[in-house]
Amino acid sequence: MQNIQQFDRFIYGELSPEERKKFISRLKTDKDFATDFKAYILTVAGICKEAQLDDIEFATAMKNITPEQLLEIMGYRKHSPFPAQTDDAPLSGARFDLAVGFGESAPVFNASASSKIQEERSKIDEERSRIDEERSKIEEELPSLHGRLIYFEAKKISETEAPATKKSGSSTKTRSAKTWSAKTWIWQASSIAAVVLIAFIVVLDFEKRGRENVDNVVFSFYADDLSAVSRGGDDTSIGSDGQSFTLEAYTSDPAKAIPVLIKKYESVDSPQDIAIYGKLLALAYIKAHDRRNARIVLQTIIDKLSAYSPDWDDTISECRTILNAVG
Amino acid sequence: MPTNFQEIANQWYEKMRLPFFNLMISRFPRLRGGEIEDIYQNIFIAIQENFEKGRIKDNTSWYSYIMTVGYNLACKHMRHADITDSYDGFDDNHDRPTTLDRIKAINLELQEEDISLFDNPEADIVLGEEIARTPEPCATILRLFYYERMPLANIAEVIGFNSARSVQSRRWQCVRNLISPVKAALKRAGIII
Repeated sequence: MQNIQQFDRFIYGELSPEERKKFISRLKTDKDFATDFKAYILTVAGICKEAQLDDIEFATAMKNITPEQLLEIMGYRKHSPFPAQTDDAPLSGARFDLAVGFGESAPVFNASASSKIQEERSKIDEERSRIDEERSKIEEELPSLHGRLIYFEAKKISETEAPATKKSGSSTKTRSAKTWSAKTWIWQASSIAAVVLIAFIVVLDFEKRGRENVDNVVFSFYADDLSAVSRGGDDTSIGSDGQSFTLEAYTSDPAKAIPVLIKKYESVDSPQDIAIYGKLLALAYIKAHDRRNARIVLQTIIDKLSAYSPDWDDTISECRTILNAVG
Repeated sequence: MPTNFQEIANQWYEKMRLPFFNLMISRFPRLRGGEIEDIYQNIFIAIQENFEKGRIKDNTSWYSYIMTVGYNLACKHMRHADITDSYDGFDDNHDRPTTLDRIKAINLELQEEDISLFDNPEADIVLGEEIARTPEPCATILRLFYYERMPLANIAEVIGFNSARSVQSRRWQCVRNLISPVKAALKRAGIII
């Protein structure tokens, strides 16, 4: 670590003339130091050359694609920022020339926006249309339900009132009218209550599905980082005593891995293992929509890694972000 | 590997989205998602326009270029909307010597002292393979620090870290993790002893 700092300072000219002299003489005398420096400088040069190639590739691509191809990449704008353009049409070549500038209409739809977001959007749209269908069915059925209710109420009243009507004439008629009015009010209230209850259940169901979608997005977003765990070796399995499984298996069905991960997480004590297995466990809980346990695990990771601050601050902040997302 | 120009441009368009959104959210918290998306699209339109007008240098570092153009467009948009959010400019480091220039100068200096650094062209092949395997966020941090010469505070903004200090400690960790396999590969290839 100290060597890397020194190498950085050397290549960026931050060493004093005296330190520089010492550095060069050490390169001549200390073979290990010289080998480390050579590996370092070749690595840094390699990073820069790779980045340079990337840049050349991008520049060549941008020079060679047509404006239409670029628009295809970006997707079309549902609300064009350019004046006198119909809102739903993609930008034409002529409009494209107007290029940079902002119009009044802020919301912009980008068809090539991240595929995950689009998937979620389409799921939500499907869900909405399903709810609308259910609602319209309920509304269609309501008048007939009301009709049946009125019929049964009327029949019940006529049956109970029939003997009394025979006995007393006009006074019974008045009482019967009052009862009818009260009964009408009751069935109206009960109908409204039923509609409210149905709406409440639909909203609850929608919210639950929404929460589950958020859990899935959080899992798939952070699970992508799991590839980093296997960096530098072939050891992609977790667990022992016949309970091991691969990271691929974890990604496809994380809920199965929870018992193994709990054991593993409880047994580790190095900050790196706490971060890796803790996050795997928390994400498995999230995928299983068990937010309560996920929050507990995330909080313990934060508490444990706080002792290793600032080296693990970024992991702590990542855990806080996940905690906020599932909070 | 991308097979055509549109695919390469598409990869960059997707790759730069998150860092750009991070920068905008950090610098202009009052910008809405739709407005950021609008600015992001305009950057790519502007790049193509600038190519047509011959305004782009050969050795442009695209990461910094995209961030700088986006930052300027956002400032323009905020001025138009009469809102001020960010007081700092985005450091694009165009005038500083590049790391590769520095390494070349050091190589010449050390050659005078009879120390040779680049004596094997095969090193690039070995390095390319190892560097391509670097995971995120290390790949981005190392690229931004060594190639783009981006200040640590700016790197923290674009990759969504809390502070420059976090980036610094992660960078050391990333270099260490990359150098070990590189050293082993170079030794296997007989490039270093």
